[in-house]
Amino acid sequence: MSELSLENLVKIYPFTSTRRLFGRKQARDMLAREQAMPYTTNEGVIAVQQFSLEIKNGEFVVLLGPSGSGKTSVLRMVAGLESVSDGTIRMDGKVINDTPPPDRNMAMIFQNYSLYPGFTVYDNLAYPLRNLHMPRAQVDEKVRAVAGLLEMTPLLDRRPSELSGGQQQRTAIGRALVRDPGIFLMDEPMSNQDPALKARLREELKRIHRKLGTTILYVTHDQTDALRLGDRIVLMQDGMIVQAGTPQELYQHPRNLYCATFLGTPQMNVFRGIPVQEGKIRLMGRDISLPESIKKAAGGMAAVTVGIRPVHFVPDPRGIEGTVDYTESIEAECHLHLKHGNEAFTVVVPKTSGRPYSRGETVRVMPETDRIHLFHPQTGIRLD
Amino acid sequence: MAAESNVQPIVPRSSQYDNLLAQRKKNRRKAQARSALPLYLMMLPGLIYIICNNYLPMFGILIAFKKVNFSIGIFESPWCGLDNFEFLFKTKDAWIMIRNTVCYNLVWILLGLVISITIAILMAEISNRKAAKIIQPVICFPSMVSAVILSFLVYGFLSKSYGFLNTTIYKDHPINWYASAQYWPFILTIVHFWQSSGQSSIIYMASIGGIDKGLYESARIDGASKMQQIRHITLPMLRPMITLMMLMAIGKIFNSDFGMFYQVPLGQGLLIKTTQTIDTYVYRALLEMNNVGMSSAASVFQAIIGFLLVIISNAIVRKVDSENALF
Ligand SMILES: Nc1ncnc2c1ncn2[C@@H]1O[C@H](COP(=O)(O)OP(=O)(O)OP(=O)(O)O)[C@@H](O)[C@H]1O
Ligand SMILES: [Mg+2]
Repeated sequence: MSELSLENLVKIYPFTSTRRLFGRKQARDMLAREQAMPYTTNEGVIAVQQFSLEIKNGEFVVLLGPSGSGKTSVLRMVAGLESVSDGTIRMDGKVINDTPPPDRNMAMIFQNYSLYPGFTVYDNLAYPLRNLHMPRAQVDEKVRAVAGLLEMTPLLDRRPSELSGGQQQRTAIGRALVRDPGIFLMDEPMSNQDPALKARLREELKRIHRKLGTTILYVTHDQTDALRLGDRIVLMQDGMIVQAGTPQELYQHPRNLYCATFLGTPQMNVFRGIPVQEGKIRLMGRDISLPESIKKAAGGMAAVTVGIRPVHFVPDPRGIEGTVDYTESIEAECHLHLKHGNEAFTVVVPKTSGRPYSRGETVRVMPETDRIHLFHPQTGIRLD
Repeated sequence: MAAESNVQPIVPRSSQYDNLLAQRKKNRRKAQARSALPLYLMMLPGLIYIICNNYLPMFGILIAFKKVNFSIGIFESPWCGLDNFEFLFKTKDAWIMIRNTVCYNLVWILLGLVISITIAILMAEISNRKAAKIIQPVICFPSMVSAVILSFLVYGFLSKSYGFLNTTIYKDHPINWYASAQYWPFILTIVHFWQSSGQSSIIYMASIGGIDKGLYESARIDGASKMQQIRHITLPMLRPMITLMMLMAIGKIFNSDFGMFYQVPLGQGLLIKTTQTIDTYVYRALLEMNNVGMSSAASVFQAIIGFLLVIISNAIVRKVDSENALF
């Protein structure tokens, strides 16, 4: 168990060199693509910048972001597999920027598990310990304990090629566990599991975390993983932190429109609203009163961006009119895709009324007052 | 933990779809035949080449079983059963040439495996990509040197009066290399590896390049040293390739590089004890005794034994490690 402090981390990958003998065309195309990235220097692409994060002892932190947002880069810098371009990494107060990976007391689980191909599960688990020159009896004891924890005992004599994906993953987790690492690093460890197994593995991971209280830094692009697993979610975009906080914080108080639309299914509805009078906003021809906390936020603006989650609408005979475009019925919910003039939005209603909605039908709904989010129309920053 | 379900399938197994796939295949084949025609046409030249060059000459196998008389032609010549083979194995050279061929091959296969994998691993560890780009073609260059030129290079070293070795290291007691058969196993081995190891390592380099980098990274985090990474990751991952190369080499265990075994010793008769292989013997038999039947018998012998060896060793591989068997 350890705490980790990342301060102003920067990672710059050098541009692809075009001075090569073969494959020049591809290299030049690649370079052009890299130079078109949102953040570059004269030398290369900035994959991570202004990344500061404190991870407390025993915390489960999830790095969440779309592909290419720099999650893996952060993780690899923490693990020591990638050099740090700028900034400091502290573990338990000690700067470890230049410490070689094996001395960092971390364990990493890779996306594709990276098990030793020629070893049995037992040897895969024992290998990190043998490298620490641990006596054989102790190695055996630890391996068996971990195998028991992960319910892998019957599989100890198999090779990785004889295991299912989920079993391979548990082996990889086990290999990380045996070392009692200070920090667990996981790079999308479940991205190629089927949903049912994924849910089970999530529980497993949660259980292990509760039991051992290890610090975990977990990378994923799957918001379900993030919302279910994390004590804290760090949402990233283009190599920077958009918002860090508990899943509730991110869900209930997204700092900007990006965060608001990234989290939650179905996606948050985004409208253009016109502030009409103090505390009221005109939305699709209806004046809607704002919650107490943001009553004054829109003051003096010609228009604002309004965000309302589909689950935060309630049927109301005096509400906004919407024509049903199509419906999806998912478990106990019904997702209504509505149209109002040019605006399209989604509403989730419980499937209580026996009558199904039909296309072209008119529905009247009203947003729940204190669930309305306002964002700056240009910058997308939350208005409070 | 795994919630295995033993629920019966909703639709019981039935025969309603029994020949569906075959039917589909038939229809598809008809449609494909037309669209694939250009491809078949494109294949034709290659096919003709293989038939003319590799399969038609196989009728030459007949020669091995005939007492060839050129005045009446091969087909008219009388059969002689296995006489040619008998004659081949009765000569006093038979033992020498078979021993030489097999021993050289065995040693070279094993040594070659070690050398080419070592080179491949070393190459993969070169972190300077530019240097690697230069070194790679350079180490492959010797394999493009023809046997005749090679023989002159070797002669430059070994010539009795002007050779590099006799004018430097062995200045005081020069050695008549081309008359001393005992040195030639070593000379040929050195020459062989000088020439071939670069090229034979390429295939391993390619395989190493294909190994998932994550394996090495996770090993690094586990604290594995470079040597341990090689032992526990690189070598196991190379195993299929090693097996394949070994199987192919074993199939050729009765063959030898004629150019090298004949040209590099400059065809010296004095060196026959250590440089005669089946291939050079066939050549000499043709040249000196004009015995087509026996030369042909030697080739047939090589081919059949080689074929059998591949089949046998593949069977062994399949028993031991079925994933890596060739067929
Ligand atoms: N070795 C590298 N050389 C050059 N650029 C790189 C390298 N690795 C990553 N990048 C770039 O850095 C950026 C961040 O990559 P990173 O792998 O950290 O993203 P990610 O968030 O993990 O994405 P994903 O979800 O797809 O794994 C990307 O734009 C990527 O193209
Ligand atoms: Mg990644």
